[in-house]
Amino acid sequence: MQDKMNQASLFQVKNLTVEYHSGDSIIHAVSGVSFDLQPGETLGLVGETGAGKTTIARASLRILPEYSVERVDGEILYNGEDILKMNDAQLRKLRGEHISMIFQDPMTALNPVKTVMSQIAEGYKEHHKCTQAEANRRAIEMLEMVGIGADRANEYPHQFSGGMKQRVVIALALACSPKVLIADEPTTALDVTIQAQVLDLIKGLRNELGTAMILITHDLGIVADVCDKVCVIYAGRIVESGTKEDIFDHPTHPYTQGLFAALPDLEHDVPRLKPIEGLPPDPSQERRFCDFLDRCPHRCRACKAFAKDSMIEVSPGHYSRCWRTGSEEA
Amino acid sequence: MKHFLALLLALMMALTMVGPASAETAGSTVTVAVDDDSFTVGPWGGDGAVRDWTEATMWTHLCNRPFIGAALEAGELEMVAAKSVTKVDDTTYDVEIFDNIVDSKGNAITAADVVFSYTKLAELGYVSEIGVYFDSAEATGDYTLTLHLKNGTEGAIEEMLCRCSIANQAWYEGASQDEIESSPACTGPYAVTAVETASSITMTARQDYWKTENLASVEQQNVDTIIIRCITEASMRSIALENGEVDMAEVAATDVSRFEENDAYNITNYNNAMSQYLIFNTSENSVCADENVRKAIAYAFDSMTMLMGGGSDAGIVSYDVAPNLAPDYVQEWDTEEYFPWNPEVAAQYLADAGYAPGELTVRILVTAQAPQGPYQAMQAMLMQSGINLEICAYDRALRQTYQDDPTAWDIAEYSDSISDFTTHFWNDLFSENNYGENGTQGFTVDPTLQELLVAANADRSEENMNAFHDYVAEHCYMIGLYTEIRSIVTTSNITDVCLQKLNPVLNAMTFA
Amino acid sequence: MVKYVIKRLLIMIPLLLAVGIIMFTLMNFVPGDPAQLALGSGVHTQEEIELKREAMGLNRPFVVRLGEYVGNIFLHFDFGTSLTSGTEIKYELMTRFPYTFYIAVFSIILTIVVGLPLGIYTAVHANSFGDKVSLFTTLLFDCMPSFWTALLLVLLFSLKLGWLPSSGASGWKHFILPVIANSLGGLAGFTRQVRASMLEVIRSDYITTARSKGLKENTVVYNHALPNALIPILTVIGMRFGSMLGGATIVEVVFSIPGIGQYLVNAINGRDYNACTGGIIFIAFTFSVIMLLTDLLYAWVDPRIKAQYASSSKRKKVAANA
Repeated sequence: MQDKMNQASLFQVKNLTVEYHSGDSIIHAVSGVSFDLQPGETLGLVGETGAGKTTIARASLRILPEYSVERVDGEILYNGEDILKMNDAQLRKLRGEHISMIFQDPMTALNPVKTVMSQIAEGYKEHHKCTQAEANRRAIEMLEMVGIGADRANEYPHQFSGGMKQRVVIALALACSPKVLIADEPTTALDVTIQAQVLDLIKGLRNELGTAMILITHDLGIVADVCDKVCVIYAGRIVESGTKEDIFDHPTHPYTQGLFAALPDLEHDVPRLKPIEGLPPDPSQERRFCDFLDRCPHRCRACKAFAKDSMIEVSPGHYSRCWRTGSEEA
Repeated sequence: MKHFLALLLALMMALTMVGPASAETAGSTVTVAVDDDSFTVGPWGGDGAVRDWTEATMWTHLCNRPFIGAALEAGELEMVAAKSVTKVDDTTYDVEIFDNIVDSKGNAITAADVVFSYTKLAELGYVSEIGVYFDSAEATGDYTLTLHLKNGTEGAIEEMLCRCSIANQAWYEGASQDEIESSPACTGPYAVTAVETASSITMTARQDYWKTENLASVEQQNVDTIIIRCITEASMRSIALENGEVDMAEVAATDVSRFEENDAYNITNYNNAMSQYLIFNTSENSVCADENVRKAIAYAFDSMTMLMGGGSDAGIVSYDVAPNLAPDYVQEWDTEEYFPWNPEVAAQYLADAGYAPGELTVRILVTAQAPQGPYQAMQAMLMQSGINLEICAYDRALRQTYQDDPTAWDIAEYSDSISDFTTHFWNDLFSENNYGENGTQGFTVDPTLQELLVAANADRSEENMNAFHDYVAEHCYMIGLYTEIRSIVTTSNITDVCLQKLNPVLNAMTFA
Repeated sequence: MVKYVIKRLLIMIPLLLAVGIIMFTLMNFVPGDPAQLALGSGVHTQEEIELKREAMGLNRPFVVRLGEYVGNIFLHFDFGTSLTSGTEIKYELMTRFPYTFYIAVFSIILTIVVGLPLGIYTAVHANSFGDKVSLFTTLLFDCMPSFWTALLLVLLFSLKLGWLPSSGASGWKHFILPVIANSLGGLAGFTRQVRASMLEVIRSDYITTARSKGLKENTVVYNHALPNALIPILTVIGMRFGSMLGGATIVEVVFSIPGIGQYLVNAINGRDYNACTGGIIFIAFTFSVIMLLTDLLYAWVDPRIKAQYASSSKRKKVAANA
C-alpha cells in the first residue's frame, strides 16, 4: 500500500486479511488493511459496528477466537518482527509488556473471583522478575494512577461500578508500561459523564507514559479529542486515512462525508437527521467493485470499473479509496 | 437315614475319646467364609448362620444335643457345663454344674450366673423355645440350681438345656456394648480375640479351658485359631476359596462342580435344615377347596424337575410333608409312591373337578428373594396339563402378611426345619393349637385330621404315624417337595467338618 | 458468614425431625411384621410370634413408640436398639460408618483426580480425537452396571492375577477394588460436567484479558478458567459424596464390606423400624452436613456468593432499622 513506509515504524499492519467461517459460509471480516503507528502517536480507527475494527485489534495480539477463524494473511510488524509468525513464547512476551489491550465491555473483562490487585499484579509479575510484594505494590501504584484508592485493592470486581471497572482494566493494561496500547471502544459501554472521565484518564496516561495508542471507536467526537491520525474503515477495508485535520477538514470519501453529515448539529435546527441510506454490505460475499456503491449518493456507472484495491493520494499522507477524488473536489 | 445318624454318633464318640490327644491332628488356623453379616458375638443374640456355627464354641451351655431328636431320658445329651441333670417331675429339673467353670477373663461361673443367663435370655426373647418353655429358675447352692418349665412338652427340656448360653452376671452387667461385642468374657472352649463388626471374628482356643477330660464334641479344640469371614455374595465365596483366602465355605449348588474335579478340595454334602413343601388353601375363598383340584395339581408336576429348575439336582425328594431326618419317620414311606408325575391322572382329576384344560388358574405365593427357577419349572409342567399357574412373588416381609390372608393365594410354597421329631414338624403345619379357628396353615378345618395328629403326638407308633401320613396324602392337604443338599467345600487338608444337626462344629474339624 | 453457618445448622434440626417422623411412620404402615421376620424362615406359631413382639416392644401403640423413639434420638442422642439383633444402633452405625466413609472419600478423590484433568483436557481440546476417545470410554463405564464391573475387576485382579484380595475390609489393599468399582460409573457424568463448565467459562471475556496479559496458557486454564467453572463442578462433587456416604450398597455387598448401605438394606428387608429410622436420620444428617460444606466451599471459591451469604443477614438488619 502507499503508506508512509517508515523504517522506524513502531507498529505496522501490512495487508491484513482475516476470514471467519460461520456455518457453511466464509465471512470476510478484514480485507487488505494497512496502516502504521509511530512511537507516541495515537491512531483512530473509525467505522460502524461490524466494520472489522475489533478483528484488527485482536489480530494484533493474536487473540482471535481460534474456533471460528478461517484464515489470517498479511503481516503485523512490531519493531520489525511479524507478530503473525511469532511462536507461543514470543507472543507471551509481547502481550502485556509491549502491546496491551483495553476491552470494550468492562463488566465481563475482569475475572470475578480474583481481587483487582491480584489481577494487575499477576500481569506485572509475569513480565518482571520480582516478588509478589513488589508486584502488589506496583498494582496499587497503577490503581492510584487511575484514581482508585489503595484501600480498595483487595476488593473484587463485582464491588466496583462500571466506570471504575474500566479504570481497573486500564490500570491492568498499562501496568507493564507497554509501548502500544490498543483501546477497543473503551467508553462505549459507559454512560456519558463517566465517558469523559475515562477519556481524560486515557489521555493523561498516554501523555505521561508516552504510549502509542490505537483507539477504536465509532464516535467522531472522541477521535477529534484524542487522535493524531485517523483511518476510516468500511466493510473490512480502509476507505480513507490521513491526519485528524485531513479527515475532519477535508473528508473526501463519500462514506466519511456521510458520517460527518449524519452528526447532529447543536447550532442548527433541522427537521430530520441525515443518515447514510442503506445497510452495510453482507460480509460473506465479496464484491469486485466498490463496497459503498449501493449507498453512495454519487454513484455512477464508472464506479464499477474502479479497481478498489488501490487508494488515491489526495494530499501527502491523505488517502482515499474513491476514484472521484482525483477528478472532483472534496 | 438312621445309618447316617449312627455313623455320625460313632464319629462323635470317637472324637470325644480322642480328646486332648487330638493335638496331633490340630491345625493352626482355619478361615471360614459365611454368608451372614449381621451377627453378634455376645452371649445372647438373634438367629443367624454365624451364631449357629459359633455360639457353642464361644459360650458354654448346660448340655448339647448332638443329633436331631436326642433325648435327655435316653442319655443322648452331651453334658457340657452341667455335671448332671435330674428330673424331679415333668416341669421341674435339678441341675448340678461343674465347680471349676471359668470364663476367658477369669470370672468363675456359679449357679447364680446360670439363673441370670436363663432369665436374661427369656427377657430378651432371642430364642423362641426359651420364651415358650422357660418359666423360672433358682439357684439352690453354689453349683446347683432348679429349672422350672411352663409345660412338659416333649423336647422342651432338651431345648431348655441346650439353647441358653451361660455368662457371668457381674461381667455382663458391667460391660459396655463395645466390650460385649468385641471382647466378651467367653465361657466356651474358644475366646474371641478380634471382631470386625459385620466382617470377621477371630476365635482362639483357650489354653486355660476349665474342662480337661470327657470333652463333649462341642468342646474340642482341634484348631488353634478359627477366623470367620463374612462374604455375603455366593460367587465371591467361591472365588475366595479358589484364591486361597478362605479354607472352608458353603458353596451354592450351581458352583460346586468347579470344586468336584479338583483334588485340592474336599466336598461335604449335607441336607439343608429347611425342607420345602406346598400348602393348599382349602378355605372357601380358593379353588383348591376342591380335593380334585388339589390332586390334579399334585399329579401334574414332579418335585425333582422343580428342584432342577433352580439350576442343580442336588436335593432329596420328599415322600412326606416332613423330611426324613427324625427318629419317628417311617422308612417305608420312602419306597412308596408319593404324588408322582402323572399327566393322565392329573387330567382325570381336572375333569372330575369340572374344568376343561386351560380354564383353571391358581395363584402360588412365593418369596421373591428365593430363586424363581423351581416355580417356573412348575408353571411349565402345570401348563402342559392345562392348569395356569400364576406366580405371585413378594418380598419376604410382604409375603408373611399375605400368608395369613385366605383370599390372597391358592397354593403357597414354604419351608420349615425339623429339630427333633416329625410330629413336631407336623404340629407346626397342622395343629389347630397354632392356628386357632383357621385350623391349619392352609386354613383347613378338619376334626379327623386333628384327632390323628394328637394321636401321633401321644404315641409315635408306626401305626399312628402311618394313619396321619396317609390321611394327609389322601386329602392332599399339603405335599412335601424336596430338601436341598448343600455343600461345604474345604481345602484338602481338612478331612472332616463334623456336621451336627446340619451345622458344622468348627472346633471339631479334623485334618489330614 | 458465621451467622449463615449457624442458621444452616439450626435448620437441620427440624429437617431431621421431619425425616425421622416420616420414616418411622412409613415403616410402620408398610406391610411386614418385624417379629415374624426376626424369627426367620420356617413356621412359627402365633404364640412364638406374640412373645417376640412383646420382647421387641412392638405391642405398644404406634404413637407411643414414635414419641419414645424420636424423643430418644433428639434429646438423648440415643438411637435405641435394633429390633432384630438387639445391638445398640448407634454402636452399629458408628462401627460401620468408617468403612462407608473410606470408600466414599477415596472414590471422590479418584473421581476428581481422574475426572478433573480429563474434563479440562477435553474442554480445551474440544472435538478433538482425544475428546471423542474420552467420551466413548467414560460412557462405556457409565453403561456397565456397577456389580458387573465389580465382578469383572475381582475376576481379573483377584482371581487371575492374584494381586488384590477379593473381599473383606481389613486393610488398605481390600479397598482398592471397591473404590475403583464405585467410581467408574460416576466418572462419565463428572467428566462431562467439568467439560461443559469449562467450555462455558473458557469463552468468557476475562479469559481473553488474561491471555492478553501474556500469561502462560496453563495459568489461564487452571488459574483463571477453572476457579470460575468450579461452582457446578462442586455441586456435582457434593451431591455425589453425600449420596456415597449413604452407603454404596452394591459395592458393599459384592466385596463384603460392612458399611452402612448393607446395614440399611438388611434393616429395611427385616422391617427393623428402629434401625431403619435411626440409619436414615444418620444419613440425612451426614448429607446435610455435606451440603452445608459444599455451600461454604462455593463461598470460598466465588466471592460474589460469599457476599450473598453475608448480606442476607445484613439485609434483615437494614430492613429492621429502616
